[in-house]
Amino acid sequence: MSEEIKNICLVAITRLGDMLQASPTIYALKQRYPRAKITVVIEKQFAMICEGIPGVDEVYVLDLGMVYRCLTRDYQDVVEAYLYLDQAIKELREKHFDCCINMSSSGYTALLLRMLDIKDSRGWISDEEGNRLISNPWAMLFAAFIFHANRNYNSINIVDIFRCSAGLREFPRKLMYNPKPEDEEYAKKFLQDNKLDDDSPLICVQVGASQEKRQWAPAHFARLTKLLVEELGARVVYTGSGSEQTLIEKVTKFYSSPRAISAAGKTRLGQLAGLLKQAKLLVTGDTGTMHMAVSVNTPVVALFLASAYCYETGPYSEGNIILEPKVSCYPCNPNFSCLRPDCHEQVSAELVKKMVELRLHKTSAEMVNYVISPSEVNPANLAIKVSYYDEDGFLDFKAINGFIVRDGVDEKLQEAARQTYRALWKDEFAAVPGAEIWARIKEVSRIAIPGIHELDTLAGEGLTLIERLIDLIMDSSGNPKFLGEINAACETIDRNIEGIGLAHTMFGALTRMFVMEKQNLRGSDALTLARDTKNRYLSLKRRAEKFSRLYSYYFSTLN
Amino acid sequence: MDNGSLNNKSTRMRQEWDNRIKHDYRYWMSDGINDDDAMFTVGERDLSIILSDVDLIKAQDEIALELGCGVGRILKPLSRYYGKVIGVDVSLAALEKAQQLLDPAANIELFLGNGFDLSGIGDESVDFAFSFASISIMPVDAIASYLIELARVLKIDKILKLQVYLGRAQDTRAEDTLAIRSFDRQCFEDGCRRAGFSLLSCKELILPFEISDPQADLVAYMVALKKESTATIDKDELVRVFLPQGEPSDNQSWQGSKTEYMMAIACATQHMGKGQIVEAIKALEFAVSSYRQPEPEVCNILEQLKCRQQGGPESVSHNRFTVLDRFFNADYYEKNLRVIEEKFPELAKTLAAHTFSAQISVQTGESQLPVLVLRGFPLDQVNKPLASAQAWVDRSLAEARLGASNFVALVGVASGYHLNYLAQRNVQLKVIVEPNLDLLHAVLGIHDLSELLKGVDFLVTSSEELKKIKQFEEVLTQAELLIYPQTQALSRYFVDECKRIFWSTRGLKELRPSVAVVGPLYGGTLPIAGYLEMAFRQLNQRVYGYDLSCFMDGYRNLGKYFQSQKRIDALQSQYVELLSQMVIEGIEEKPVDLLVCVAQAPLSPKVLTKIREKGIITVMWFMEDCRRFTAWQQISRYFDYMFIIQKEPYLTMVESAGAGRAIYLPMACSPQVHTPLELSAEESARWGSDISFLGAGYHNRQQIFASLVQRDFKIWGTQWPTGYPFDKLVQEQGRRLDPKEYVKIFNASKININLHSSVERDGVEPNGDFINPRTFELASSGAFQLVDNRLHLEELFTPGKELATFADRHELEEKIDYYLAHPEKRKAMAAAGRERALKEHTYVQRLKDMLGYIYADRFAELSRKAAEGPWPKVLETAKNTPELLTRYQALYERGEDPTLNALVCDIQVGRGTLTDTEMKLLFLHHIKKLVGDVNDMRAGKITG
Repeated sequence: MSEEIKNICLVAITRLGDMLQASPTIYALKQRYPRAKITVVIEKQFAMICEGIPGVDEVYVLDLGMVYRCLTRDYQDVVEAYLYLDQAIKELREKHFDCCINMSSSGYTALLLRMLDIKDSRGWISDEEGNRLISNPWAMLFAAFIFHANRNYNSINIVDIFRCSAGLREFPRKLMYNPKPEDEEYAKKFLQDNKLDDDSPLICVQVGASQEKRQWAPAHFARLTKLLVEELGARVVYTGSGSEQTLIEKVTKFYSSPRAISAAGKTRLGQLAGLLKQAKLLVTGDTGTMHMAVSVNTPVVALFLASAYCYETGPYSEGNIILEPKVSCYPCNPNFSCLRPDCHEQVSAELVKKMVELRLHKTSAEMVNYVISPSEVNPANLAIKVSYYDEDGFLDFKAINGFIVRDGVDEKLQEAARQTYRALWKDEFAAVPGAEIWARIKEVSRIAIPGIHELDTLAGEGLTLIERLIDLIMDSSGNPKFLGEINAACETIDRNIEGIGLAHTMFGALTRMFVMEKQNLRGSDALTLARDTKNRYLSLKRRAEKFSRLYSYYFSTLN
Repeated sequence: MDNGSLNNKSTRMRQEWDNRIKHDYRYWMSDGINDDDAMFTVGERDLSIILSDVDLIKAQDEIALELGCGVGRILKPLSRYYGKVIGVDVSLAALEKAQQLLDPAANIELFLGNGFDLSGIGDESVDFAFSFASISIMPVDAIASYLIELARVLKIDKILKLQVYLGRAQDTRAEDTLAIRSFDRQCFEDGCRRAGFSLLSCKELILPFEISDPQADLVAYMVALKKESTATIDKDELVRVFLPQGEPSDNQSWQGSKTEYMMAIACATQHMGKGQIVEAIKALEFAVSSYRQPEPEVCNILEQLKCRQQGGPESVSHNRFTVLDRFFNADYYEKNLRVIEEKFPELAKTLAAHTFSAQISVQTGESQLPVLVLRGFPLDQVNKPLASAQAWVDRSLAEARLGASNFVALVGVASGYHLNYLAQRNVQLKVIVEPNLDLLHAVLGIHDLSELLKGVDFLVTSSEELKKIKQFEEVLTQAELLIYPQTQALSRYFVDECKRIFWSTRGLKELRPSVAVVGPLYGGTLPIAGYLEMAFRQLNQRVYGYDLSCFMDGYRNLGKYFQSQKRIDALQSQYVELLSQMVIEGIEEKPVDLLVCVAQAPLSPKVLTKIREKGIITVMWFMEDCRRFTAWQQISRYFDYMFIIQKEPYLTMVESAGAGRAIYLPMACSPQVHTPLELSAEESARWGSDISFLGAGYHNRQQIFASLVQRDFKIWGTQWPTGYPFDKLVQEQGRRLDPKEYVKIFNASKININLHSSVERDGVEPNGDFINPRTFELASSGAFQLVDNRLHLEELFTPGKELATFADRHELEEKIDYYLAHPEKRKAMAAAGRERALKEHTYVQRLKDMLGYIYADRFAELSRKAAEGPWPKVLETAKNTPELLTRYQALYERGEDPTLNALVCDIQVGRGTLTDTEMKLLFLHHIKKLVGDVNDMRAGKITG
């Protein structure tokens, strides 16, 4: 991003949590370009969040709910929606942004960026023909890991992806949300009014989640509350939106106490932040409330159930405890509902209470180095993970109750692959880690990884072919017939490369990246295209080589 | 009054009618007609009016009676419907003539009546009785005594139909056997009740010519009565009920019937117009002899004519404008003609070559302005023609929906007073249609229309020209159609044709009703449902096809596990009910304005009723032989329109079975499918032969085709016998072929035989009427065909030019030899046949006709529905976004709904730069999908 930047647009339409997760990026952008104006384009429903995020100069609200309602009515209401959009685009264009970062991965935000016609557009964009493109390697990486089979090997948090997409080295290692003093006052008064203003530990509990399958059962929450109130002597406040009150009532049906009250629907966003700030801890699923808690420095004990996966969207601060069930289907596909969420039964209220107790008595730093013995929490049922920042400032999670071999998969191997990717992508796209790690790696002998050799060979074959293609293009007397033949041969190779990613899931992300980078090549000049393609084969070859070395290293450190 | 006086009157009735019959039975029976065929055709038309809403289902076992049957012009067509028909007439001469004209073998019995009773006809022996143009001119006491008699001979609950005049009671004399009797409606109804009848309906009778005279309060009605009991009243009392003051008698001072006298003169005038002097003399002599005080002019003319006949000096002018005499303005005429010569040279020639009949005369009233009179009926209000024509124009324009162009298409010039006034009202008269050249001519001589004619684009005088509608489609779509009421009454069929063409053109442009096409489960008409759907699309109508053929396997397999036919039938009817339900669910989701069913579409009466309750217009194209497949008897009542491939008597029968309207609509072809093909040598060998036949093995086909065994003859199709010679002739084990394979056979065969099926006759069915789809498909495919003679064939194709025909086996073989030897003739004929088929017989053409009939009746209803629909609002809302508007208009033109999905379907991602509008629409599309998916997820629905 150039120094001249004066006017930045951030498109963060999707959800509340997403906006909080973008907050370090926004803050860092403001630090980096103090004179630039930052405008956030956000859905009406979530616009309020921007009030507390430092660095936001202007909020442009899109009422997509209204648009959607128009669209479902169809006929002339489509025109209404169209005219609304037309006006919005016009207004946004008049702001003459220098740069736009798309924090969402949806098709419509890509089209929105295209329509805004800003030269420096990042993340998901669309070309003039409506094809969705990804302009940034980090965003592409995110897309590669959305591909479900590859999720297990991702370990770069979305917050880091966001700020890396914006090219920011310096950034706050926390989510940024500042509740107003009156919000904090409100929270205090709320507790007072409910006679919960004593000195016992205040624990917030977020019962609801975005999907039913990610929601721990009310009976479990009730049991947990009972333990917290009766054994820890804690005050419990249920958080949530008004619509989640019914769910909370289900919990209080099982267990009710004057020491456990509901604030659901009674707090605006800022007040929720104020309340969380008062709390010693939040027990939650993977929710917006969780991100809100860490942004006001309140630690969390989080149940990552069903499709929630901590390496993607885990709480962005140090020393949080994650409970991750070990069932063969975890983490599941977010696009399907689940009729029998077995993963919920892996977590007991007693264990959660234990983790709450543990976290209440330890500092963040102490938590990072804490170890739980496998006899205490069986790693066959559950992984206890703790968040920490690695030496490059990227958030990571480590399992503190050990690894096992589960369903024929050695968790250590999986962990080694995850670490490998982490280092690989940092090295490829952010020029970290430094020389130090490569020096350490040199000393480790290579281990054999099934599939890596084929991958390397295929990349080599592709390279040879594409070089021949370049020769043919440059030689004007060449027979055009051969061009077609080479293209066809390249296609076969590409399919085989993709096949390796499917057969050896460990390479899925590597091959998916390759495919996506190729799909994102644009241009009409044959020679440029051929040269770009050549670079893709070169990258694949290089990454396969790096993968092999890094994997051998991490494998050795874990053993 | 005793029977003696009745006897007197009946003697007079017989004498006078005998005289009239002897003078000119056609004239007196059927006004203005001078050949027997035409007379029976008119009889057929009248019968269709009489039989409308009569239940004919059991007619073949019933007895019908006509009172006043004359020479039997209605009895003849009636005998086709009823098991036995009885004709009663007072005139011996009429019955003798009837015996000559009617088939002696027919089921017709003639009774000489006595003018007052029906003696000889048993009590309660008749199932249906009527009197048309007969009882209405009898003396009132004859009417009364006949009504009592009709109540006697009719069975209980059976129907009597009478054509009568109601309005003001007319001043008639009991001696008059021709004057129209009219009754006060209340008195008439009371009388009928007292005679033992209940009143079912009383509808105004409209004929192609003016039959009523509203100014004289003389309105013709068709009355339907149901017999409840025998009469509770005697004849004299009944006369008093009908006419409280009774019908006066002139006794000795009776001069003769003025009506008869006037009619005889009109007859003479007709003959004079045609130069038929002998006949004119005969008619005038009849007039003079039957009336005691003939006018001196009439006697003079008679004398002059007689002179001329004997070679005397010419004194009767043949000038075609005689009738107009002092009103004819030669300057106007020349002026008008000059414009016509310039703008419509063909018409000018036609006018010059036209022989004028003497059907037109002139009448003047208070205003002294000439009013043209056609066949005795004034075309404008006689006293104040100008004012009444202007009032009509004002009224019509007030109701008209004039477009921005202010174009008007006018049918009917009448006496011409409305023409110039229309021009004064600032409308643009673009089209004038006048079916009667005489009238046009006369009007050109009365009014100066030269300025007005300069603005007219089309001046049409015949149905042939009307058919060339394409030329003025552009004008018609913008114009408002005005029909002059007198023209409507006088030329009903022609005006109907105008309306159909006009509304179909305008409707196709302005209306986009959505149409559901429901096909059958199986059978020969199955592909036709697909052709119709395709044709609807070509016409840019919104169409949803329900192809139910995929459910056929299920239907067949219902009987898999048991034998009882009863059980199978029960299950199959439930299955059909389920399919019907499916269609109605479809209609719930995608509402339609029109439901078009192809014959045998499996929709149950229950569902059809529900569909109609929704205000959907139901249409059935019954593409079957009504004689053989009688399903129409059960289903007709559920359809607003039944289109059938046969004409009378089926049209009447289908309407009487309850159809809103029955309309003749022949089969057609689909040029996209039925097209000439380039075949490879391999294909030609497989599908080709000298002679081929494609179709099922009906009896008559087996019988005629066996003799072709020695030839290079291939038979394709199912249900053929397995033994010799069919084992040699039938191809590919007699499997069912698909329509694409048909076309290969058509193209590969030198001669395609097309023999309509018959289950009862050997060889060619002698009176086969309808034309099968194959005829059209072969023609459209550019294939040469030899088709059996059919009654309707000649109006659709020209035999010998566009296809070859045969009447029997002998002719078939003869023509096979001939055409095999003359490939160039085959080629020319096939090409001509294809040209005709493409021009006139495609499903697109048929649908235009079909929609034309519907639009003519329902334009207002459909356009109101369209106005209530989404389109007007959408186009209004989008008017300031030009590209979006254009995109919507494209959808509208294609007959689609204005949905986001439809808009997005037109956008191609990855095929060139997208416009701003396209991007925005894609954006909205993404939002709809994404938010919808998220909502589904939240609701726990499984998504992918």
